[in-house]
Amino acid sequence: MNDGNTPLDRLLRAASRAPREDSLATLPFPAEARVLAAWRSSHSESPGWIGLWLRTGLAAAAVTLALTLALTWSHLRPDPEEDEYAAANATLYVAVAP
Amino acid sequence: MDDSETPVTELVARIRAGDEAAARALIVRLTPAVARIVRANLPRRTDEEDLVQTVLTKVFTHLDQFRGVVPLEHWVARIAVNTCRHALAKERNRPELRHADLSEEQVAVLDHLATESSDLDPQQGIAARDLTSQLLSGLKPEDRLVITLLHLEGRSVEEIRDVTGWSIPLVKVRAFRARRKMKKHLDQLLKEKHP
Repeated sequence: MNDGNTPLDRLLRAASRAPREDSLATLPFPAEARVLAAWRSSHSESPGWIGLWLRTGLAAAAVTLALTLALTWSHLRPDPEEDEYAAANATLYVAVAP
Repeated sequence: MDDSETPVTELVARIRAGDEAAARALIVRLTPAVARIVRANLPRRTDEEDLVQTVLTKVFTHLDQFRGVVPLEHWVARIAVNTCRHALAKERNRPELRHADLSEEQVAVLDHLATESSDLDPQQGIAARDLTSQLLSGLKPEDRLVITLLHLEGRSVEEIRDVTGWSIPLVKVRAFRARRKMKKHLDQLLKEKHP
């Protein structure tokens, strides 16, 4: 059972009480400028009415494409009944069959 | 205009409206807290300033997603912790710590731990912190994070839940397993010196 006085407990206790090195108090100017540039860039990227119009157009085009593919699917699939060789084979088979 | 006393919520509202002075003020306000989290969870060979910049960039580019349900500081702490966790996860090479890698001061700390039952001297604090840091670097990012937050920063389980998004049972289980792994590594070091 952990009584709080194992070597690990004592090590962690001592480590937590150790004086801390000073961490960064202020962001240096170049880093701050990069953060602000990223923020400005993301801020100006917010979609206005043009962005909304473009997105709607893209979505409508995708839906139209899907509908067109669905409606023409039967024409794209090869129909065995329309296989001219199959018809010829069948005719020959009937002709030569006993 | 001096924004050092301006409430954070007001700064956020102004930033959303495109106010750059408010953005600068918030950077100044958040940097020390972010830097503290980054310092405590910094992967080896990673620059502290770079990681602080990465965290603040994420905060500012996702500020629209901040709903104000929790204080901004908690939201930022969560982003900082997750960014550090991902940075630690990229650190694939976690070499095992050997007795020969330790400094004289760290060996003295081990001697004390092996032979005495009292707490370490306050003068040994820095060596204890460095030894702890080396032991932590052998752990998985989540294990390292939970030990740092719980034992070195003295945060409560509830606070850890808030900044990591883990449930309370998960925090406790991870802390238990991380301590067990750390204890195993420490015992190996102690046995090398005091078989």
